[in-house]
Amino acid sequence: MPGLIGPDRFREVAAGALELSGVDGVEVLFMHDWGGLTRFAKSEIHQSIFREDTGIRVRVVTGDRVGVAAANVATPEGALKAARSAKEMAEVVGPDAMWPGLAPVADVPEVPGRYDETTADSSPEARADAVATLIGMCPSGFTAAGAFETQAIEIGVANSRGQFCWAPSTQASLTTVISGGESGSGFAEVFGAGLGAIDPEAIGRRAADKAERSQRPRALEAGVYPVVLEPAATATLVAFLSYVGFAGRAYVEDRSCFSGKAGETVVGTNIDIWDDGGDPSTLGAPFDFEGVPKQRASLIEGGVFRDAVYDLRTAKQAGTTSTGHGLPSPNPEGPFPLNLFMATGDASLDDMVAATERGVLVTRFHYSNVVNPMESSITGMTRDGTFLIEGGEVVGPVRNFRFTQSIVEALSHVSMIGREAELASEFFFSASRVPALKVEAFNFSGVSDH
Amino acid sequence: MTTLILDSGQMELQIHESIGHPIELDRVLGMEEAYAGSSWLSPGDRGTVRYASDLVSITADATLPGGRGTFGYDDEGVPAQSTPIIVDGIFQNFLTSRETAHVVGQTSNATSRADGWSHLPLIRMTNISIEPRQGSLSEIIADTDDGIFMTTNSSWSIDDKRINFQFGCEAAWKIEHGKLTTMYKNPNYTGITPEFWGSCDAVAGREEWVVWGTPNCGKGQPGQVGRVGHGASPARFRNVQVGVR
Repeated sequence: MPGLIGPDRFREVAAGALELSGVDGVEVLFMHDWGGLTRFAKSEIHQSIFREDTGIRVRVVTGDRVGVAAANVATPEGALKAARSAKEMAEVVGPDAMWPGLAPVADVPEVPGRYDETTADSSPEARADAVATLIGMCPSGFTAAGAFETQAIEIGVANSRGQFCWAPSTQASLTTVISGGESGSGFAEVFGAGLGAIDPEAIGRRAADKAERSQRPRALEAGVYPVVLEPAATATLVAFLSYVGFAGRAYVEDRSCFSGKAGETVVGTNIDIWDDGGDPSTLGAPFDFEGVPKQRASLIEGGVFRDAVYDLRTAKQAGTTSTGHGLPSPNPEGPFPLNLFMATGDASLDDMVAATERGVLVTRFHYSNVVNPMESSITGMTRDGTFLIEGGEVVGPVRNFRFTQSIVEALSHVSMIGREAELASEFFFSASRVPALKVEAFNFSGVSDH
Repeated sequence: MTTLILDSGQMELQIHESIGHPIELDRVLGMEEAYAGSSWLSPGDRGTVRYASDLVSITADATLPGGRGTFGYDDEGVPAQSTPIIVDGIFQNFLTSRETAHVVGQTSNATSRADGWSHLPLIRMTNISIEPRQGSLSEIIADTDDGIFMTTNSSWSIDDKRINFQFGCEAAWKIEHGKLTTMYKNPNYTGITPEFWGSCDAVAGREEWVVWGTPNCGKGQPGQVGRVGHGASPARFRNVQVGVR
């Protein structure tokens, strides 16, 4: 099993690039990751893989021109070779009038609990045992599909201004869809910094229960309904709001639904959303891919939009400082919040259902995408557990809905918020720590056949 | 509900999402169920299921010159080939790999590809193309009394079985008495895969046929990016719901 290369060796590797002469700045981004993934379908493991990769990206500055080169090496000689290549790139590209400079020296706080040796050393046998336990929770006539992934990552950034940071982290996730019977499926997942968060029996039981309760769904007419969104569904709204609203590049280019709205009430006053890479309950490194410490960024506070997140470039454009949300260069997308949180409330999921006269309980959404970014409207499908609520009780499954909904509008009609938050993922985004929500008006624009 | 005409570029996306993915046999067998989803098709559907109207024939051709999904051998060493997928509206063949083809009593039709050294080969689209029929886009528009013409994809969403889709375009024009009139921005339309394809009553000819590249097709865990192609002509569909809000 691989191990951490560590900060001392990374410093030696980076020094190879930092010694490049005749340039005005050098930055070395180092990424080393390894991990295994066990995929299963029809209650059989069909894919078990292990992968290790080591890479560096060297950014070289000559005047106001910037070049980037990448290599799969972790030696001083390899780093110097990549730096020379990046210098050649810098010499042939046009000037960058908005070049903000490399990150200044800044302390990066250590976050405890982000790296777990047991998770880093996880074996395929251990993952297979956990999958067997999960599959064992399937009722007769049902099968499980899903993935169990364990990953270890170390990231370092060093630059010629003297900034140096390095951090290891691990993460583990177990996701499943259990399906069968006459028709119907149920979903459950868990994310964490280590294997301690993974309880395959509980995940299997949760998904199996939903699958059994999803049998023979009936078609409900499309329309506007009150909805109770489980955390995985809330995560879709929060993740897409970060894409169309909180990302700094869209914000400074007036392409964000929040451009020009700092200080305005944009959603319900009961909504607080922030990004905090330093919070022990989230995942990843406490600094960004430019070596800037991740700051706690208040995005929506009491329903008021505060600000977007920034990297060095967009901060310069906005006349502010980086919030530590830069992505690896070259980066045409701009900064992005990767450690989102939504504030919890005081309700349980049962409370929300009990308070719903007629509505829909949504386990999760699928394949969502933006309809109109300036209106924060997105479309997508429900899947793996969509239920009708009547008279304060879940009365049965319904066929999956297509929704077309403004996120800002939805978050303006939240009447109840879950008292517990979960790390939940959305297809193309990182995991957010969010609660369940009750939204009083949610637009289901179509119905599927299952 | 109205008559919808799609330009060749939007047809590329329409083929990719509502035909290309559901014909992947690993999806049909449930191997992607927990993540990207499965398919509305079943292994026994070959030769029996009406996928589209008689005008629609779809071919998977990894030998197409200039296609983004063209290659010599797939990543299991199987020679590239051309496979009929839909013939005159009837579904005929899945995309298969050596691991999956035996389930439908066949050998691999060479669609198993990985995006790099560190990933397992998965069933990926090659060049999944609609066969051109006849006529030009302008002739199809001229032949349409009332409808809407949409062009250039901007957004896409489809369910886990590839049945219920909603796609957005950059621009549209109303069609009145065979002429383009009022322009709209950010149009969209929605449909159910076999109903939508079953309503196709015009496919433009070879002179309008373009091989488009899709360089960003995501699939698998860990995620892989596939490079695939789609030959497409403009086409017309009846009774389509447009302008979803």
